[in-house]
Amino acid sequence: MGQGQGLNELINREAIRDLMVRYYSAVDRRNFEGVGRCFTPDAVVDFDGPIANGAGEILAYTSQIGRWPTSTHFMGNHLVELKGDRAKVETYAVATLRTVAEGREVDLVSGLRYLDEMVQTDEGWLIGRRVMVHDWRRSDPVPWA
Amino acid sequence: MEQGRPRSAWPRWLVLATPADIGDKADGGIQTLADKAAVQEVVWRYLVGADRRDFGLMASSYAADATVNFPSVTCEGLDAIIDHCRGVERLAGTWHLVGTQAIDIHEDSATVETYSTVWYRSVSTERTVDLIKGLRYLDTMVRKEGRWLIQHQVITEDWGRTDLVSTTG
Repeated sequence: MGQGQGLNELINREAIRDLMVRYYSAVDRRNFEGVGRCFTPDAVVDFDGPIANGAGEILAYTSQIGRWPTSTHFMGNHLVELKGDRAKVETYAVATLRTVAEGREVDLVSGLRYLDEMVQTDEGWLIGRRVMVHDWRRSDPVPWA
Repeated sequence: MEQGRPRSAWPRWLVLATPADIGDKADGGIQTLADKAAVQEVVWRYLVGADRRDFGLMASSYAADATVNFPSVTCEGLDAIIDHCRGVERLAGTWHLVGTQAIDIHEDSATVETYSTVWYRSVSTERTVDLIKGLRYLDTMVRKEGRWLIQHQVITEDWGRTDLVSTTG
């Protein structure tokens, strides 16, 4: 691999990582316009069951997270397989959603994986297809806060 | 459950390269950055490999003559290491989340410290529990024929707790 090619790959990997960081940040801040900027207009997302076709449906589904007063997506493992202007990306995140059930605070904690097909466009790297996998979840009462 | 141990008892592991060390390289540090990315991928391969039960993917992280000090046992050689790792198949699921990571590259060897929080789920007829642990992986890697591989790995368990799983509420 030539030096220029190696540098180009590093820049692309960083841009892809940055896209994921901006996605989680936008979701947790309820900035749904920012969420929309992460996807191609014709993107398809499988939310581990419900399928959203196109940016409008994706935003409508994602905005349901507004039911929870707060959410935190803690991003972890991030695997990138680059092929030219396409990339397959797998990202782990632990999502903590705090809610109130029967007068008690509860944390709904989930282990999520995002399996993304990304594409490099004039607007930078964007998500074209996504499969979201809920690997595990648990519901923990908050004893004190 | 293990009690917290004093900070001083933690193995001293890394002397980190400073940004200046990277910037001083003739190529502006591009090779060091590429090596860091490759080394991170080695770590992800063995952790994600365990979660997927893909032992071929796991094995691709280790040198054939690698040694691993697991918290309970030491395994020498790739076959013994992978045999031990197959223990995860007894669990309903495992999940290894990668967090803090410090990487020090020296030419053809690297020292890597990785924090991981893990969830090991056990399901029985009586109850479902998550064994949640804070692990650190202390890796010595070598570059062999252009590929980074783990030569020696020490896994420390810094904390652990067992929590009943409820999915209501």
